[in-house]
Amino acid sequence: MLRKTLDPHFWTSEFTVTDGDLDFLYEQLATGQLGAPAPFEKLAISLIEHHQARENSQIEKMLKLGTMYQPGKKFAHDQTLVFTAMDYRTGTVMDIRNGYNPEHGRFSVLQVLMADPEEICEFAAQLRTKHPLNDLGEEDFSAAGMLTSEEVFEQHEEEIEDVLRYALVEGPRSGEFIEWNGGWLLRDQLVEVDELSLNMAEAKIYDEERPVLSSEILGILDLKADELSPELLQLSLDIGLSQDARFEEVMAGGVACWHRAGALPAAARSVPVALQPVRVNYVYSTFTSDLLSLEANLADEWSERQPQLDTLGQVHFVLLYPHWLHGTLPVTGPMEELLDLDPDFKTRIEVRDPVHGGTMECWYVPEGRYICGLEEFYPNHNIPAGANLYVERRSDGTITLNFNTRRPKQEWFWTLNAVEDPLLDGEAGETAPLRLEIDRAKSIMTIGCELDTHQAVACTDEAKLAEYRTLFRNRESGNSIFNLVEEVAMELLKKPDSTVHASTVYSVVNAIQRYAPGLVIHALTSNSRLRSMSDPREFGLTN
Amino acid sequence: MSEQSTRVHASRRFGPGVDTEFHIDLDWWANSSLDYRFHLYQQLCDECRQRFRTHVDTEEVDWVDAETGEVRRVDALKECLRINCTHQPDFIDDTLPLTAACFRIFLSNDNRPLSPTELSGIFEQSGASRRSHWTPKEILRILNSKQVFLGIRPAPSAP
Repeated sequence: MLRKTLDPHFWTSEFTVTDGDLDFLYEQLATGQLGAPAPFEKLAISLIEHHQARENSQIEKMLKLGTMYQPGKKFAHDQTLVFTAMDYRTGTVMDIRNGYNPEHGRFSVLQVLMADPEEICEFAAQLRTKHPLNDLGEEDFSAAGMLTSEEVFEQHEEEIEDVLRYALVEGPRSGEFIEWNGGWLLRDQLVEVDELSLNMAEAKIYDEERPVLSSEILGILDLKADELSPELLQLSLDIGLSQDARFEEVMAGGVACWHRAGALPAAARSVPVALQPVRVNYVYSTFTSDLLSLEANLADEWSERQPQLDTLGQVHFVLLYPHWLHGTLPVTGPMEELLDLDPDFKTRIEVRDPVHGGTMECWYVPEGRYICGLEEFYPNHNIPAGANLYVERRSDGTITLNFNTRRPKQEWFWTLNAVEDPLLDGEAGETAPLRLEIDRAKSIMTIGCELDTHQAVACTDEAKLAEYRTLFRNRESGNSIFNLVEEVAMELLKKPDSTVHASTVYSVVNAIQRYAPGLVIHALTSNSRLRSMSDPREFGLTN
Repeated sequence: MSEQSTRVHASRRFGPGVDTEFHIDLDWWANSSLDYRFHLYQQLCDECRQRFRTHVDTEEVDWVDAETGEVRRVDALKECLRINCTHQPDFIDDTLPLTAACFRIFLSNDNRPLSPTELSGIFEQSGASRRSHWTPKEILRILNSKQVFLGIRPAPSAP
């Protein structure tokens, strides 16, 4: 191969980022030629161009050192030759003898003293049979017709990205480069944001009692950066704030701002255990069309199948126990579309209270796929798990959380509790491990909103249930969904000849551990102790 | 008496077994009336036979590298076998007699000694359907018959 950069093997196996390459990238970033910050793709393409240009100049330089070796040509003693097929090594002809090989007829053999490393090698000359090196012309060494750097990147993107990213992120000089929102810049380009500046930024946000723009914070700081552009100054501040756990970059009013992490509600800072899903791959082959549509209708934010956003611009969902418990709303695909949420940022949202009026400050938490901040709303309106709720975005942009009111009455709930049985052969006070007990019970309080009776779930001792939840998470491994679904189904079917709806099992299971409905349905349909009834969404015990 | 020495004595008494290693015995070829290089030439593929019309005067030639033009002094027939013929998919196929197939295996592995058990394994992996069913015992019976085929004999280190 005359050019390494044209050899796919070079990019897939030999390409490394050298110190010289990093010097080149440093210069490119320092001069801002690739933008600040520079997108990764631009860095990679510019490095490929650098390799190609370096190769061109090397070829040009080497070809000037001597005559290009071609086996068909005649050479003389002391003549300097350039061997294009041997990485452009050079050598001097020391001796010439007759060659012998019946395949080629008469030809000469050159004895050549090679340079770098010095060694004697022999080469054919005056060869009359065909040899590819005899066909080389000047055009084979020109840069014309080569793949462009963009084309090389397109063909070997994965390998080039791996090598370059490693050098920038983990290599010995990784400290010189910094990545910010997918772009790259030099640490030297930034001004250091000191402790005093960080404290002042914190005070500013605290004072404003709202998320604050970087530019607002910059206004009160005295960052020493005479030659720094306003963009790099703001970037320095953004990076400085992002590296301090006191600050969180959030979206508010459609723009990225900084907020005090401590000012966010607990469920916005970290996803509560009850809302952390366990995701397991499963197959749909056991699902009937009724079960597939049930999965979509349950509108779970972790579900692979989700309903479409309806034309009324309204999203309906049934409040699941863990969401009720933590005052959160699930953010399904349609909800994300309706509220125009950016999955890269925690976002501040104002939700209108339809009954009392006024607005509630809520936060969209992308990693948990929920909106939090409703921990007072649910108890204030006596909304239980299983309630039918609607999120609506009005033409003026107001977001409302609605529910249909009706005459208050006591309702039947699936009431689950974690119970401790005394050990018969244990010591006094010693108990067996917690177990789940599920009963059908009427609520003490009256409920004034519409319920999905299959999914109305309550718990009389949440502290005990939380203990069971932790126990379950620590105890169970990959097959936990199958064990939990069976345990719950057996409890729900403990009355003779009873049946249970799949959505009830889904709702009860999710009070213990977050699982998408598809998984629960899969565990139900694949359990040999259960059978589906005439309505395939209903399950009973196998006879 | 150790287990090892028992095994060696037993094999001396009873002759080669399925684990006895065989190879191409070049001394056998030197003492026979047959021309080893002619047999070597016969193993070349059609393309290489076109390059060298005969096996004569091919022991040491100036071999020209097809990519770089570099010259090395080599045995032309062995070099052809090494870089070309042994890589052809039909180098060892169902049409060859068993002894010829064994001969080609030794040519392709630089005459490294192999036992009938190992040869049987190689045939099985080669996918040559007719020969893939040859058991080590059947291979041994042919290689250890009274007549020596293509100079394939027990290797000197064999018990």
